[in-house]
Amino acid sequence: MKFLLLSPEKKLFDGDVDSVTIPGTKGMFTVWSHHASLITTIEKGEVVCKTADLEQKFLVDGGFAEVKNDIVSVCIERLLPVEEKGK
Amino acid sequence: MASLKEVRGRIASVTSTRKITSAMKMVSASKLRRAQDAIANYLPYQQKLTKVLEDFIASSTDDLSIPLAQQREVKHLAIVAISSNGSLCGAFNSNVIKKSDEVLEKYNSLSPKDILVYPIGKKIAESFKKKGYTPQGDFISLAEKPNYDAIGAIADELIDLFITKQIDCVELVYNHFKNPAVQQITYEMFLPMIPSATDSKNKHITTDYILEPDKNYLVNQLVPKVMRLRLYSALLDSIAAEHGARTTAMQTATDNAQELIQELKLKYNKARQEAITNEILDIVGGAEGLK
Repeated sequence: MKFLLLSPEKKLFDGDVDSVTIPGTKGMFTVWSHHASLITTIEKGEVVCKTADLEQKFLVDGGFAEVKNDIVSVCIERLLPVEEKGK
Repeated sequence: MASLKEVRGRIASVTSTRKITSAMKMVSASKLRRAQDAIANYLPYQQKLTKVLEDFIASSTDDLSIPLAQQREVKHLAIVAISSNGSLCGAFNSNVIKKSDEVLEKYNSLSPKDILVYPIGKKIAESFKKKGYTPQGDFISLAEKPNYDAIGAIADELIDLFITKQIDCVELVYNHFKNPAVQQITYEMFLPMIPSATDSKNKHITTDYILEPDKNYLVNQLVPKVMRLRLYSALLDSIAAEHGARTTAMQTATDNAQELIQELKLKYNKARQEAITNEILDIVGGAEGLK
C-alpha cells in the first residue's frame, strides 16, 4: 500500500507502508491495504504510518485524506514541529 | 575626439557596471531556480486537492451550496495585487500597477472607501498609497519569502469578509510565469469562486467514495483550502516571474555593457594610434628641420 503525505510546501512522505492511522473528523481510524475508497477531513492529531520494522509519526494540524486504489493520500496544510522517527 | 584619459575612464566604469549586472543576473537565476523548486514542491498537493474536489463535485448528484461561490452585486471590492520589492526587473512592476489601475477604473462607480487593497510587495503598495488607498496590512516580506501560513491568513481574511458580506468580489492581479523570458500579466476573479467546470469527458469513472463526516462539511472544509492554495500559487507564480524578469533584464544590461565596451575600446585604440602617429610625425618633422 502506498502512502503519500503532502503539504503545499513539500512532499513529506512518499513510500510503501503496511498501515496508516489517521485522526479523522469522526474518530481515529487505521487504513490497511484494500480499504474502500474514502474521503475524510482530518482533525489535529497524529498520523502514524507503519511498516514491518518502522513506525513514523507526523503531528498534523488538520487537512484531508483520500483513500483510493490502495493509495492513501493525506494532504495537510502544516506539520506541527513534533516529529518522531524510528522506533 | 575624446581624450585618451576620458575614454579610459569610461571603459573602466562600464566594465564595473557590467560586473554588477552580470552578478545580479547570476543571483536572480539562482533565485529563479529556487522559486521553480517551490512550485514543483507544491504541485503534488495542488493536483491532489483539485482532483479530490473535482471528483467530489462530479460524484455528487445534487447541487452543492457553496457559500463562496455566491454571486452578488458588487458594492464592496477587494483587490489583491502582487508585485516585487526590488526594481531592476523590466516592466514587471509597472505592468502590475497598470493592470490594477485598470481594475480600479472598472469599478470607478464605487467610492474609494468601499475598495480594500491588499498589496503584496513594496512597489504596488507604494503605488496604492500614492493614489490614496490604505493597504489592509503590511505584506512586503511575503513578496520576498513565500509563506503558506501568512498567505493563508490573507485568504482566510478575504473569505471571512466575503461570507459576512463585507465584500462582494475579490480581484487578483499578478504576473504569471510563462517561461524565464516571458511574464504574462494575469487578472482574475478570486472570489466569488467559479466552480471549475467539470467537463463531461472528465466524468468517466467516478469512484464511489465513502464520505466522512458528510458532504456539506467536506465541501466547506475543502473549498477554503482551495482558495488558500490559489492565493499561494499566485504568489509563487509571481515570485518566479519576478526572478525571470530580472534575469532577463540583467542579461540585456550585461549585453549592452559588453557592446558599449567594445565600441569604447575601438575608440580608445583609434585615439591611441592617432596620438602615436602624431608623435612620429613630430619627430620626423623635427629631424627633417635639422638637416
